[in-house]
Amino acid sequence: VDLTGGWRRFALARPHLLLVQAPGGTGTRLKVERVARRWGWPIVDTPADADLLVATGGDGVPFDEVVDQVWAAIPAPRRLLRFPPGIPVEGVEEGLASAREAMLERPEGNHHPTPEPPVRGRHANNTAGRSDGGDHDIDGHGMHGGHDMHGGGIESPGGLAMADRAADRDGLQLDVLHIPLGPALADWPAGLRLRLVMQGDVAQQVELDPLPAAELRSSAFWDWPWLASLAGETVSLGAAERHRAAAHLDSLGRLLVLAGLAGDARRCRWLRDDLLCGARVEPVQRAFAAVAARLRRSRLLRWSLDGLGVLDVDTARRLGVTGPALRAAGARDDLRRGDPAYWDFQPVIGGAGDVTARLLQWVVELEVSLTVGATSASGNLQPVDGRHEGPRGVLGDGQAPSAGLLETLPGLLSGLELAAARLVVASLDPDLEELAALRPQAVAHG
Amino acid sequence: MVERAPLWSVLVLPVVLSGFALAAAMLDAALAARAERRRVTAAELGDPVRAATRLLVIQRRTTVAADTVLWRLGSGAVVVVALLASVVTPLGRWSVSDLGIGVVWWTALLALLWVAVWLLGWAPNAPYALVSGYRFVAQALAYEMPLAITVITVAVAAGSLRVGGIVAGQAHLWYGVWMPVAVVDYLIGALALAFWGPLRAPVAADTAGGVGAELAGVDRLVFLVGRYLVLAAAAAFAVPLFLGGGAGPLLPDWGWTVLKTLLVLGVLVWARWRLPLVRMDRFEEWSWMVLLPVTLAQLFVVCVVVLVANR
Repeated sequence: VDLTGGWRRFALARPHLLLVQAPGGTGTRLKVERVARRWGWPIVDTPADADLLVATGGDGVPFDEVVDQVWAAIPAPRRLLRFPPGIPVEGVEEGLASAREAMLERPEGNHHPTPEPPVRGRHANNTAGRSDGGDHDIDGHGMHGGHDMHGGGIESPGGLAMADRAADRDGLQLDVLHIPLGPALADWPAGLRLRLVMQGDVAQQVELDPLPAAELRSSAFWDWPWLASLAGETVSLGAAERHRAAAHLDSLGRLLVLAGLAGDARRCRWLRDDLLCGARVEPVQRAFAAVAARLRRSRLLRWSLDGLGVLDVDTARRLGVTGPALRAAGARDDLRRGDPAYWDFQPVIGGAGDVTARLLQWVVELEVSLTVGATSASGNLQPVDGRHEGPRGVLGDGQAPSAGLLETLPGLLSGLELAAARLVVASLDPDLEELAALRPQAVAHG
Repeated sequence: MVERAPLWSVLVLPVVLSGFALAAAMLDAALAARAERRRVTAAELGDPVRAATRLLVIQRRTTVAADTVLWRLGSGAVVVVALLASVVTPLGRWSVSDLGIGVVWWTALLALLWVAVWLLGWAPNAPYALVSGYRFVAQALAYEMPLAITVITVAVAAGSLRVGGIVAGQAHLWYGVWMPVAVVDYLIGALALAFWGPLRAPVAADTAGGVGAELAGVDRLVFLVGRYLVLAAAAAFAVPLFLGGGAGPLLPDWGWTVLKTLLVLGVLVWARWRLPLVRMDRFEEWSWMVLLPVTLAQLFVVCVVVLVANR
């Protein structure tokens, strides 16, 4: 018995984590990522490879359903952890460590999803699934389209909807699948759900369907310095720019994972955490310089990303896009130009407006933010006409820049292959927390 | 130079190949730890062993309306293909079977990966896996022709399909030195065969792990081990093709083979951490429009050189 116990203890010494985040969970997610990195616990991207399901943010019913679905797809031994917002790092460490111990004692887990009413339609996440009753019978199902109204009442294998037929762009009759993308997806904006109509691996139609935000209590983690300044508090320029750099590092990390640069993605993440923990800026600056040089040098990277998801200035302005995504398209809009605290700030602009341009825009703005963060520790943020330039664009007047970014998605993603679509989403990285905090009515219809 | 080893060497082959696979996994773990700013300790290096043990205690899993038989067959086939192909790969002076058609055997067996990975994508009846299965077929369309022609080029230069003959043909000059295009072709092919590094689109993060997304427990272990074995098999076969087999001073033949294999493996593992993912549509186009013509041109040059030298 002891031998088996020791064997299991060795096997599960580093449980694999699956993070599921709703808007409002960013702060906690970052703490979990930090602890996991220090302990060497892998963060995985599929329920099939997970032991601990860590749900952060969101305590509404829609998110609970998402958590239930993912949970059902995780093989035993398993454990569910839900950290409350604002939990300190020590709390995260304790929670993770005790979850590992508990998993050794009771492999079947601690979570009992509420049984779903049989008549209700429900949309399942791709790699997630739901259990067919018993806890031992685990099924991660995929191919049912998500539209339960679909399939015309024909009995289909496993109760899943069969694929439809429709003409594709070449006029061929091809199978059509209705696939939801998100919200429980690694390296994906928290709370975002897209409904794709896929033919093969091409998204023919894309519809926005974010998790209903009205039920999610949320604060905008990445926007707080600017929102606080708008609310009349004193925020130092250095602190704000460090926070902006951290926000960009987080976005960049996601994009790099999807672009296949796992090493630099991980570097971005620890640099981000260093900044958020108040480390000195100079070492971060030095470490990032190496990453930036590699990204600029990599012709293979450009070759893979060039020409994807092109957003021109006119379309961007029409949809209300501001910030780095607009500047990457070639516009010189940056409210920091009008802020006397920034001296004579000159925005850097890209031009192509594609994924490469947005990636390099983040890189260049990161370097600017780190320089400002390192040198001008004095000086405070001052709103320009009651508005600020946040990490994703103009904040203030109830404006949420991520709303504009979201609006671009259906247009940019239609006709793209799945990998390309994921890259485009990551290169825009809309922050649904921002929406929930600033304009709850904007997404409440979902 | 290369001779057939006694029958019991059939039992040695899996051990040696697994050793290479483990070495690759350990290097990968070390690079992962470094990218996450952890110290590379013995525990980090031993992480692949722990991860494998973990998969043994994890429950297996299936999906709704999955074709379980074909699914298990798919992951098992990856392992079997890697082992069977390596029958003709010599370790120093010995190979399990120095078949007269050695290079054909190797190429043909690894082409079976098309079936194996496609089944892995199709059988779980899940969209991400399915999309990724298609991706592997697309990838195979791009790499298979240049890889096959490369192997033919080497065989033409040696005037032999026997791996031993190819090693003997490099007594004066390694093929890796005067066939640079072939080396590039082969390395791309090796990355593609093991869907590794810049060519890991079939198991990439954007599809939550692709063809492996639904695998859990021991099934996942078989799949992951198979993938590392393919990587090791591809690295090991580069040694007789391009690096003169076991030739080298001081060390015994088998020592040089091991060293050279580890070197190639190191390059492949390093590529995973340094090179970005290549998008399939662009790779496809480049492979047919650029790589294939260049590969054919090299075949032509090699043919001319062989004809002139043999006059």
